[in-house]
Amino acid sequence: MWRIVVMLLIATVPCGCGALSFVRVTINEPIKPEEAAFIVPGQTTFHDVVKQLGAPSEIKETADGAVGTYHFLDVKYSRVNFGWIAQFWLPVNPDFILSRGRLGTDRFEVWFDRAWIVREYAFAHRSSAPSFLPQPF
Amino acid sequence: MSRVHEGRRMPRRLRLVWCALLSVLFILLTDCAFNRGNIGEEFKSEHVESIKKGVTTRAEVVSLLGAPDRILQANSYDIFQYYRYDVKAGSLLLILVNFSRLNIKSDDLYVLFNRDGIVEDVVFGRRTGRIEFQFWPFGE
Repeated sequence: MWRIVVMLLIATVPCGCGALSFVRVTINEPIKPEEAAFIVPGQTTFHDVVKQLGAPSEIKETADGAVGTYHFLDVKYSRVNFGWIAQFWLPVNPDFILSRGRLGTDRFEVWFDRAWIVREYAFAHRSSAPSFLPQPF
Repeated sequence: MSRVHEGRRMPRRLRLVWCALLSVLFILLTDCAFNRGNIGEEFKSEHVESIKKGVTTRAEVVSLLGAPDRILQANSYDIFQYYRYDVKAGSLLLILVNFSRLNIKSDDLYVLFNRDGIVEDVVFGRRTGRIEFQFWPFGE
């Protein structure tokens, strides 16, 4: 659901009518590996994790416990309108737009046993930071 | 005294440069926008603190916080999840270039119930307090 919300929000962010546009959307702040280094599987509890990292975005049941997932998102959108300059000498305002959006997702997952003690944790999808490049081809 | 004041005054050439720079900025700056949006109601601290482990019932939680956004089951617990999103967007729209940045952060509240429908645990994470307006999309 939150992905749909993000897309709607991106659509409503004003891009203006300039020749170049750079838009960025971020959801929450990514957890760095050093911030998760305090977690000791078999010892750290759910409460310890929440105290340090905040509540997870999602909790799901697994066969032998539960998994807490922290979601992060970083969207970079850039657009260049090569037709923009022509508006100064043409009677119409032509558009020739190249644009590209890049979505970087991060997920940090912590698995708990039935007593809410951490079994293991992992960065499920460590994405490389997307860049601004309005080149769709 | 007048000497001191003269010493603090900006040299005339520098003032002219500043005026020219400000004029250019005002010519280039066509629009500036700040937008804000919310999904869900803000969690009141007194509501969260009034949920007592081993005492508060499921019905009392619902009357306090409303119906949960999501109901989960994990480790033999029923879990009510309440969430809230806060969005702050800033845009700097110049004649040639536009910059926009939209920051979204979430607050999540989990209330865990045992088989008898009594609160076993409350987990609350607040991130929206750190959200800020930005328009510069580059960097961290």
